[in-house]
Amino acid sequence: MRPERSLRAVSRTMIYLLLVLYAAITLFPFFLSLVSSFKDLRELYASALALPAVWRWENYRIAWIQGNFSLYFKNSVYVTGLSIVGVLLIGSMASYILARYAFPGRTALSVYFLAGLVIPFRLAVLPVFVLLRSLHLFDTLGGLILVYIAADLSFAIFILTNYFRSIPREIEEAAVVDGAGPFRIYFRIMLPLVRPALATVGIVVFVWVWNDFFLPLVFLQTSEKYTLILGLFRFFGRHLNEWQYVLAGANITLLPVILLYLFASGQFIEGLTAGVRK
Amino acid sequence: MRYRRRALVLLLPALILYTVFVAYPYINSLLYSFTDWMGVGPKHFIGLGNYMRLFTEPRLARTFWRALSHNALLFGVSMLFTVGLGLSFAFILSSRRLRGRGFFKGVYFLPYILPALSAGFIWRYILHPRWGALNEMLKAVGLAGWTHAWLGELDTAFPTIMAVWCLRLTGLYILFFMAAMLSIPDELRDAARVDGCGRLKTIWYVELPLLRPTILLLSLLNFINAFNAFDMIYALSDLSGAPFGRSDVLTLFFYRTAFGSVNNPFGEGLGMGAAVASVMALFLIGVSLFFLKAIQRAQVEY
Repeated sequence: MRPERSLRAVSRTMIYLLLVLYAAITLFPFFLSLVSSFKDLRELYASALALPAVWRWENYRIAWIQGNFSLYFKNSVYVTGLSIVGVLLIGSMASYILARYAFPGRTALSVYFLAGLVIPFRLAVLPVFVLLRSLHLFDTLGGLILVYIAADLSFAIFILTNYFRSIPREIEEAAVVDGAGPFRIYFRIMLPLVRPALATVGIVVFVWVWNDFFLPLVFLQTSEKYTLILGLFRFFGRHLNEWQYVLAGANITLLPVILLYLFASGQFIEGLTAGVRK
Repeated sequence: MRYRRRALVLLLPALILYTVFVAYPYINSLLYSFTDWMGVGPKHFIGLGNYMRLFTEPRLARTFWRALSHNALLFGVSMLFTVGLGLSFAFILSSRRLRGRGFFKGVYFLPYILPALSAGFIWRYILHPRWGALNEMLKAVGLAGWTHAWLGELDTAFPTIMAVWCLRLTGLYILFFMAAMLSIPDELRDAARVDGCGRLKTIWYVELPLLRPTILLLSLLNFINAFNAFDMIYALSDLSGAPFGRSDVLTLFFYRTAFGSVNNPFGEGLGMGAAVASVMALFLIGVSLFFLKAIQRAQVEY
């Protein structure tokens, strides 16, 4: 080998080493959390890095039961699912009109919706708290879902309006000639065409709602209403230093996100790098 | 297009929900901030009273400025790390001959999509003074003197939190920069090579200047993120920003003011909380506009 080429080989190896090292640092906490969640307290105290002698699946059962996670899991699926459906439906209807119909004040209305992307929603949380209370929606999952839908509309409209604009007009014009009304055109023709953008928005809303801690903390009070993240938070408060259960609980909250990520990492990346403005 | 009027019905649900739950509350928040309302009972207009208290009453003012300085520090440090690391890794990963790019991208992005609170608890375990993996690893390589109660000591608590914060965000920045680099036409790089530029020179003189709008946009994002920090900080410290407020940030302060905490069960009331929120909102809007102006000016056409 000529010296120049071997130099290049060395620098290539260094680059791969660097990449692998950073990947290891990134994955280490989650790997450690997985391994540690199967240990017992004695093993946790003996060494953080050793493998468990026996893989104690019962840690998960205990955490699941003591943390009331089956209820919280159901609550989280319910809240996340309905929020996604609501944002997609309501957001895409509005985006279709904003993208396709010229009416006075359209630009102003678009700006009005997009303004929500810049100011963090958290800062509006006190009046929403008061509003939910007067609507008897405070401490209800329904109220929380309405807030999530409203708070994520800006992002959905931002993405979907652009996507609707990219669809050729001829498709609808043919339908208009055939006598189809706007609702039929929207549901039958346009909605199926924007499916890729809907998937992207849906995944972003999933991540935001599933992971959220702040709004459930503010808007939910009775423990039967908790979402999974809020449930984990209270569980942590009750099981300080019983790390095997806390980690098992934390892993339970991570699992659905990781599974979905394995199947649709492309959409996660596309959606969340588009949604970073939030 | 025909059917115009009837079609506008499709716009209504979004308009109503957004107005009721987002736009109107922003304005209402500002209105609350001029009252002494506790959340229940009577509401009196007190003008700028809350703002005066916030900036003059030592207990509140000191906490406010300390929290703000921590947010600012978080922003500064995350700029160095996330933008620095993000850019370097993006340059490496966008090299054409690299194998396994998809895998690395996927792994680096992972921490960003996982719940911050859960990740925070996992880090809390790793950083545990007695049973944590970090101290154990330090001891294993003969650096027992470097061990710390990372989240408990006054001097290490916030730097540790900032490190965890940066690790979580870097992947997002890597991917964002990679996307921006893809949009730089290859002809520009080829032209630079024909003119005798090496790889590093091409990066410095051709790609970096073209990435300026992206860097500015990410700075804005970093800024909004840093001033929004809540879940991660709460998980790694607590509502009071332990130890002794050394990791207190504005959203924690806002929450305590509005909803109360252990030491102050009723907080300062909704009026005061709204004043804190309004100051934060004005600050964020001001800085965002500044960034957006800069981004507009930096925009280039290929």
